Amino acid sequence: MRTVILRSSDGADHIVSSEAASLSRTVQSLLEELEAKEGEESPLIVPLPNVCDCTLRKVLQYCIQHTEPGTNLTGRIHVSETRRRDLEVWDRNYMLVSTDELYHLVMAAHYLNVPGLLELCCEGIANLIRGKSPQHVRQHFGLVNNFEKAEEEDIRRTNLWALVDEKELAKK
Amino acid sequence: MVVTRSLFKVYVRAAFENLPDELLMEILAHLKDRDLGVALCTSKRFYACREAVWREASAKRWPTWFAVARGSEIPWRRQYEMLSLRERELLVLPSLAAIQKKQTVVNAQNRAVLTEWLAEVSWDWQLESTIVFKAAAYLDHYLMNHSVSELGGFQLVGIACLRVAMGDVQQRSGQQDEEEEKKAMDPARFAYISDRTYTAAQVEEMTAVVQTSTCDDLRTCPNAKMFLRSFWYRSVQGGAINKEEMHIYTLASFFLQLALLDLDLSTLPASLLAACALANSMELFGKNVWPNTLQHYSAYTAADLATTRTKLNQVQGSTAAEHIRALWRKHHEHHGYEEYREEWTHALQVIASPCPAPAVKCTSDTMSSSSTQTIGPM
Repeated sequence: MRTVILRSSDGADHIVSSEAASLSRTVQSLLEELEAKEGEESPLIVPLPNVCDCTLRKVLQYCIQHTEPGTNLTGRIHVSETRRRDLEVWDRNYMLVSTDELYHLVMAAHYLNVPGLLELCCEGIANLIRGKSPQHVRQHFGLVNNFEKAEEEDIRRTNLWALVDEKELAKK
Repeated sequence: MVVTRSLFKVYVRAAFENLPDELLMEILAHLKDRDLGVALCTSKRFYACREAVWREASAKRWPTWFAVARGSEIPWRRQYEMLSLRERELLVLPSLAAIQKKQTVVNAQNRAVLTEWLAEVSWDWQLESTIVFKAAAYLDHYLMNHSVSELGGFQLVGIACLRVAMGDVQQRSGQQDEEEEKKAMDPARFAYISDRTYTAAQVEEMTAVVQTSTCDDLRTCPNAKMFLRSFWYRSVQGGAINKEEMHIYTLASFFLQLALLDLDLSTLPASLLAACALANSMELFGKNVWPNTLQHYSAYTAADLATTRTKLNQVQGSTAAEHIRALWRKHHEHHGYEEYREEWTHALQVIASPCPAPAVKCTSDTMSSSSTQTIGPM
């Protein structure tokens, strides 16, 4: 199997199978270009200036896990039921990261265009929002309440359902 | 190194505010209802794209409806809220069969007497008008789960349902004076209105029973009166009704009040009843019965309403409900705008005594693309 080298923004190289690397559509199209230019024999080095080493390492964990035997390139078809369930458990554990890490991961998944990972991250972020009050969400994601007084009053008035349970949530 | 790391963190934390648009949309697409509302209320940037987000979310969640209504000008958040509430009410719809199976002593007639009395008490106490609708919903759920062994205890159940409903509404508004609140909820006050048939302790005890038999979904469920308000507001906004034509609204509310007394009707979705009440009232005053604005907003086509509108007309034409009719007439005699004097007189006539209405023919402008198909949430 062919291997490729992915180079992070801070210059660290990661050697992975081209199969795993191609889960990223961005990398896949870069590889195709490189192959056309350099020929099939030369080593393929893909620089990824938008992804730091730490995040790239994490992304590659996902790519490798999702290209293990029994999975094909898209990671969807021909997957046995047991394998699918194992992957789900693995994904859940994989998502146990800090909010900061999650932010970097979702940005990387977006830039590298790894559909499965992007979906997983978005669901992970959505999970952090569910059941919280606006103030809790702000705290969690480091957002600043930048509404003017009048605007906030308007929101309070017209978005009742967003505020209804604040009292109950405060109790928890 | 340590310093740069912490600086880095500060930078990162603020960055959620600057997620690329498409990524933000992607994340929000994973949320619904209240959670989506909350996310949009957290910062200026999220709030700015709210209508686009609600539109996307509506399109994704109710594609059949969206295919029909997409072209019209729609306030998307309200629209989403409406369709979502229509789904939510189905979760706690009382079952007529279950009530009939459980009850051997209490029948529909007894229920009519009790609900009429509850409505009277609500008038006397000047309660917020949705409370009695909530109380009736709690009552029907109680009847599904508990058998009432003797008629003498039935009124106590009704009193307890009213008390729980009042407590829930108070808790939600949360702005009342605590002393007042306590006084209003005093069990002795509820015992008193039963002509001291029951003691305060009995009221307290039954309240606890009703409280445990009403689930959260039921307590936060919208009622017919709330739906009527939304439909009314939408038809005024959409220009189908002039906001001063309050006779239409008043009569529709009255129809809902009568529907509350009828067990069969009470087991139908509240949104359907509200739609039918408004349509019947509009028909009485020669309006376009179910204009496109309302079809889109409510996701009920004119055809969806036909059966229930006929039933509602029958109930209106056959329910004596003397106490309620008298109360309504007294309270509304001097209302209304001068230019609609004639309409008010007509409305008061309908309120005063049962008047037979013809069966509903479904000929009005049904949406062309889906005249036979239901487009609403299932």
